[in-house]
Amino acid sequence: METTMNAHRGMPFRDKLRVILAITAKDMFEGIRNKNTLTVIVTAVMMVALYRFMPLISATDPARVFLYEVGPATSLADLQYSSEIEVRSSPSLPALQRRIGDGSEPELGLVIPADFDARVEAGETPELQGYIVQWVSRDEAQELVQQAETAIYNETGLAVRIEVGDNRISPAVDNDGTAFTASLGTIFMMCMLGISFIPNLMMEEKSARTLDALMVSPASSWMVVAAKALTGLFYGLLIGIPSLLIYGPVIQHWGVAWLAILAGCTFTVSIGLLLGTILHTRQQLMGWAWAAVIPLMLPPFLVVLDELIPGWLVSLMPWVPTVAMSMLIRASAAAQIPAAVILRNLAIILVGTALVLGFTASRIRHRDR
Amino acid sequence: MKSIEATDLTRTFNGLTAVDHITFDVHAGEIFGFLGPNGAGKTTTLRMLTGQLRPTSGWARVMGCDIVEEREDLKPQIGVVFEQQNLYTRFSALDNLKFYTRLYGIPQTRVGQVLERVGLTDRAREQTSKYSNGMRQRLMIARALLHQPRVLFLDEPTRGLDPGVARDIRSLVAELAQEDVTIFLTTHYMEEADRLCSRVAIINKGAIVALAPPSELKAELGEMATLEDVFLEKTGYELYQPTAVAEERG
Repeated sequence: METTMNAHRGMPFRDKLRVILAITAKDMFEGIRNKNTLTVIVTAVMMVALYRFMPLISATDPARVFLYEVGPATSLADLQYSSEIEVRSSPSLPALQRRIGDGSEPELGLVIPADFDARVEAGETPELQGYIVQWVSRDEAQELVQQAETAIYNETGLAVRIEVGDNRISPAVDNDGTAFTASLGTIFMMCMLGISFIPNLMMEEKSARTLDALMVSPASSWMVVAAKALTGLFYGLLIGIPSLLIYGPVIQHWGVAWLAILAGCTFTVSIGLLLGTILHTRQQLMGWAWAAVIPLMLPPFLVVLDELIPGWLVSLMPWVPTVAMSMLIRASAAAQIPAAVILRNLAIILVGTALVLGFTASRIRHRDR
Repeated sequence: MKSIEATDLTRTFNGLTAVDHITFDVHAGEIFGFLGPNGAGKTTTLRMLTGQLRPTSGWARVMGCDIVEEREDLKPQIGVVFEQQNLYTRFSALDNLKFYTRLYGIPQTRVGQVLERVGLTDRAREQTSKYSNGMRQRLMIARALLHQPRVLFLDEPTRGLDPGVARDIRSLVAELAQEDVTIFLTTHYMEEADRLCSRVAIINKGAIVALAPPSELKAELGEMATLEDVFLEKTGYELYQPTAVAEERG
């Protein structure tokens, strides 16, 4: 293989690119005619949509309202018996804001002022500051406010005015709400692509022996791998576009979201190329797919369950590239993202990709040539 | 001029010697038969000569290109028809060939020319999964000829084909040799080798045990000897003799 690489230095870059693009175009064209490819794409998009809309479908019928009482408000005590809203209390304003930002369904946060009871006794209509997560539409927010005002009136007989205004809460960088489920859905999609689709690109060439024909053509092993990677990225983006559109309202930083999808695809494609290089049959792939999916898919889930898992495992989690992908997608929903968060997670994904590609390359180099 | 030169070419797999210090050359425009029993080392030799497999020792040059050091220069000079059919079966013949024109960077007008040559013009737009065995074999030859190689490697090209298709392919091979294309042919059909090849090499257990024109090899064995007799004699095959077995059983 070293000899091949040496010889390839003599091949003009333009010709190398022509060969790579020819194989990529062939794979894309073939993929469209391949039922397996279409099945993987449709299933992946459906799973992403399921992750997105399941919390909304299963959302509690009475809207959830979080109350932070600055001082005791006895006149609202009966609100806990309301059947129109589900009332929960928050210990502080930051806790309330964090909870609203982390919600995976539209929820309302209300701050009850210290002089609430006094104002009620004075015959005033108290104004309550309301908080709603950023990705909820204005109409939905208005509906939620009206629902809460009606519920308070029906349960306590008090007329209040809820003012949301600019109190739209952006999820935190490490939120575990809708952006978190968005990240899980997207990672699931990318892992499916990496574990199911990409190895097939390699294995079909091997099982049909078309790889032999490629190897006596101007294509080299490296060009074939590069072409498959490009095909994988193409299909990754093809699935990534609807995924991001599904989660569109949640995302505030589209650049970071796209970066996460691109880097994530690069990583899962490299995993797929490795599997496609070392495996020869679909049966082998079925077995290995499960072995690969656990270390890829499980850490992004476990990372939010840090109280349930051992400390050493918690400290390792952020170094897993799929967790880094999840972090980037979650961060893309935040109002502000520290540059360090982007750079650190991007570096983890790219280093992970480089390691996997390096291992794949060494496998190719040590093949029987 | 020599199209192929191989000297002490050797290949081992995990300590087992598949090809053992073979030396031969093939002249330009010659049809060279490479014969041997299953597992004798024919395909391993072909894979080394086409740059798919690195020799353990020894060297070879094809059209002046070292098969290891100048592999990329070698590729445009050779065409390979593999023993197993390896086409993109979701594609038509046209799409299969167009793909290879892009790989080689040659004009797509070549597609029509090679399809015409192998007699597939009328069926060019059909998906190759619907092709018969013979049609697929023709398409594999078309693919190997697409970039006008100077040396054509054919690994069992008529195996399992109808006599008519096999004859067409043999005619095409003879035509190509007349056009100064060097043919390296492995086959199990001795009659085919006898009819087509100007010289044959017989390989057995990785070593070349005979190398000469078929007529010379047959003459060594006797006036009525066939190339099959030569092959069996050189490879040490013990013929099944029913009368001897019957006598032994009493």
